[in-house]
Amino acid sequence: MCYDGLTLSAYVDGELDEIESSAIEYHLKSCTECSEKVSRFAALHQQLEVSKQPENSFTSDIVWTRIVHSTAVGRDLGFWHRGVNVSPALLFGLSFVFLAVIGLTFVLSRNNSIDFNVADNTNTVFPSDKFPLDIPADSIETVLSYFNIHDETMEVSIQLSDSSNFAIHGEPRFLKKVDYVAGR
Amino acid sequence: MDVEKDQSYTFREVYESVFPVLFKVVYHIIRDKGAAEDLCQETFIRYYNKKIPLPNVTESRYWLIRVAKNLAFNYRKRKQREQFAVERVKQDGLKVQEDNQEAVLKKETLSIVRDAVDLLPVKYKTVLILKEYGELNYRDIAKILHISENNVKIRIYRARVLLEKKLNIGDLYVL
Repeated sequence: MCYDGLTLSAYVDGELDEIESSAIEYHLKSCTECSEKVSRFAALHQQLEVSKQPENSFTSDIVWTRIVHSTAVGRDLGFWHRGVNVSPALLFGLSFVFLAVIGLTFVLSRNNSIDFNVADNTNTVFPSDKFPLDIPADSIETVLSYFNIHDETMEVSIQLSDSSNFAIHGEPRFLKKVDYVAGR
Repeated sequence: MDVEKDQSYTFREVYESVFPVLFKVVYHIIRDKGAAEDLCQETFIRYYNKKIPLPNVTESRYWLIRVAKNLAFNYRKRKQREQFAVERVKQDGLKVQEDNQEAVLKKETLSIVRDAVDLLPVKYKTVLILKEYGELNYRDIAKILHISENNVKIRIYRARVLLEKKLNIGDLYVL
């Protein structure tokens, strides 16, 4: 029984197992037709072998050099193939510190925020050294009538507390409130 | 170190392991040394820039040869379209300079073999180049081309039959 060309082609390529190869070798000794087929495949292989490009050991080095120059190969790249070598742990630590600083700044700014004490003319009293009395001051007219002053001028001085009772821009609200009431 | 099994391979190891076969395959598809170097370089740069790394050198080898093979065929097709007329003129006007009759015969034979391989259908030419020039076995060729080993076996056989007809081996100068 002769072998088909497909099997003989695989035999020439050494792709058959030992048992099958041995059987073919045994068969080739007695079969001219199969031997001829194998010889033709071998001759073809020889022709292709000769037409191979002779190897040049420099080619590999040349291409490698070009790859190194056009990519980041060869440089010490540890993270995302980028030019900056930052370890993930260090990056995480720096991020944590940055967020902690931002958070702390926010909390401190909330604690130090200016709490304006807006003058409430209904509850405000004027302490007096001369008159140890609490004078109701719901309006400037009430104060004036308390001192029985009607057609006279009166000098009023207001001492602000030492604590930061000023707005960043403009006048303190305390003054503004009194001015408003007095000007009515 | 057995790079075939090691998961932590380096780019250099892959390059050293794959470049020789890659260059042979690309060269015999396009038959231009300078262009083959360029295509090999491009293939390795694509491999380097690949977002998802391949698990081992063997898989990297398959991937690289597959990409290089596709790049080479695309390059060849593009070149053929661009320079068809120029190539014809060059071939017609080509003068053989050598006086040595034997050298002339050898050169002609090489040219005939290469032209015959060039004229094969792409799917047969591919397997033949991977087998004969890339020196890869059926299993590797099957992995590279995403086909079965049996299919590789059939294609190689058919490629040989076609090539044999084109070459008419008996008429060639025996090298």
